[in-house]
Amino acid sequence: MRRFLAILALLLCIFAAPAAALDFPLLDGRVIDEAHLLDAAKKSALETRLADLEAKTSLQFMVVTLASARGMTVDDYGLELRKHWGQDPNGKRVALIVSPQSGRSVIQFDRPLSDTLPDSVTDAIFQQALNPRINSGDFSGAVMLASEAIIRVLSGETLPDMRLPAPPPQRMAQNDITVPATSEFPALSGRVVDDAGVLDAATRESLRARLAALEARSGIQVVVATVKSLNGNAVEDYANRLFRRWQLGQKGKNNGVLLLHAPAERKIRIEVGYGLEGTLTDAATKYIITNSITPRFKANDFSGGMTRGVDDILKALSGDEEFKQRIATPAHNPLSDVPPFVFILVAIVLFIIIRAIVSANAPSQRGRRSKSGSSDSWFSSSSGGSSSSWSSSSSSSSSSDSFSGGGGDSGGGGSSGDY
Amino acid sequence: MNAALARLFQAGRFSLLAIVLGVSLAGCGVNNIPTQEETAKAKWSQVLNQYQRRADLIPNLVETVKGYAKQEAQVLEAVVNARARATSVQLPADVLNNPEAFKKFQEAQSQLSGALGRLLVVTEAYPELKSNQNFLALQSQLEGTENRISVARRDYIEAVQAYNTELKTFPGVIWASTLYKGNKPMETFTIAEETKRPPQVKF
Repeated sequence: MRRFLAILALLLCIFAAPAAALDFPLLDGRVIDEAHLLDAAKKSALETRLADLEAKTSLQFMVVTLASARGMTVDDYGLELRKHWGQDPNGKRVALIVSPQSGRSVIQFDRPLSDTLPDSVTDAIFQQALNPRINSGDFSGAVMLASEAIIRVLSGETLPDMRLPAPPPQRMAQNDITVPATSEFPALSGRVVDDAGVLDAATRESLRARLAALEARSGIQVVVATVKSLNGNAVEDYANRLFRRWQLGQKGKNNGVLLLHAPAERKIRIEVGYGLEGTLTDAATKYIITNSITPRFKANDFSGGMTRGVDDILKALSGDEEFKQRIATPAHNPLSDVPPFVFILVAIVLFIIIRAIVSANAPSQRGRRSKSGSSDSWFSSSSGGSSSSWSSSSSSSSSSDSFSGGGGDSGGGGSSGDY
Repeated sequence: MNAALARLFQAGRFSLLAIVLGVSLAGCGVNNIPTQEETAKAKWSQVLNQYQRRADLIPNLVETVKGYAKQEAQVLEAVVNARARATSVQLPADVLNNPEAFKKFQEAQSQLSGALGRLLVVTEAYPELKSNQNFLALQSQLEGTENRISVARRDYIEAVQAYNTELKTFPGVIWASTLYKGNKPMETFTIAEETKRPPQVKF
């Protein structure tokens, strides 16, 4: 009986233990297709091409497709992955990393190759080969064509024409409804839900783009909504329930913001998720509503007011100093509530941990130093190469991805106002 | 060898029975009562959190108003006293099952709400105070906290509703009378919202 219990306990522990460490796919070739985008034929064909490339030019090109970026940006995860595989930068490495789950792709290369792969070339590859196909779901085509293009460039040939034969019609982001409408609430059709029809198309599009960029940068989901009527509800109650219905912000982080405008009742509210209450304080949102939004709304400039409001929200979220000066409130410093002995305790624990790490690494210190030297050039070269690719891939993929909430929650933080 | 095998087989039968029993019980909802009780308790601590946050804002508010409206000493004192009373209410460990303790807590908080409301009405007559950045920030924080209190209360009421219903309906009532004899229905907020919200003054 006791033996059985022990086995059962062991099994439970195995199933229950969360995978805390970062996991990496296996390095078993030049093409690591973790996301299973390529069939066997395409994969072996690509492997052959990459092997030929290395034989001809001694340049090492790898293609990686990721099932997930494990919560990091694709760029960062790619760097970690290559570090894990022990690929020191030797000036001859290129990697194409595609994450179909997030629609993002990155081309990383060592600094010496920045003349061979200038921004013009990588931009062309993103704009013509990768992004259109990723956006329309043709991942294997995107990977194969981008790989082919990079191989050609590295071999000294010119870029092929990678434009799609018939460009797919631009899907309006507004058509992808992820939360349906009810009699009380509008549908979540995108980042800008203009149910009351008071915003012009240019404003809608520019706001949508900026909010998408914000989410790409930081994961914060901001949604602008105008509703036809509050149906007799108080704007605070309505906004909180709408926020929860749409589940704005990432689950656990609760970093969502809802900017709600009800023109029929002349009410505005900025509803802030639990996780952002410290950054986007009540005082800040009240300030934004009173100073940026209400005056413009009073003059019937709804588009201008919304834009300015979103501007200020973005400023507050990014911790803009100038904005903070403007508000200049006696902020409640949560750190002052922590009894001082906790700080001392934390410092002691950290000290012990650091000492343990240092003493554990002492024997291999010599090897470590040389490794850290190479990792400096590693980071700078690949980030130099991939920063341009990062921005172009994210801007294109967000223009037609459908927006849905991340499961975040709000507890009623934020402020309201009327005009 | 045979003895070991026989023992293993016996152990195997036990384990199978244990697994089947566990799975079926979990499916029948024997876990609902404790789960919902914990949810309701968590929501309650959130309610307490927000009430405490309101209490923390008050000293600052009183100081700011005093700077501009010293003559309103009576109203300010009422607020300070109400706050002291509200924060000094000793919550017994079983406040959620104890109607009198719960009522006392509610009353103390509603008195504080009333005193705050009167204070805010009074400040309307001081334009210098109303345009002071500090005061505006505090006022927005107070409004935000009142809103958070109502959201927290709403969440708590829903959680308690689910828990109380589970105790009374099938199959929860079976588990309540056998495994969870000690679980009593929880108290919920009953006084109407209007008396709690500070009065809005519009000119």
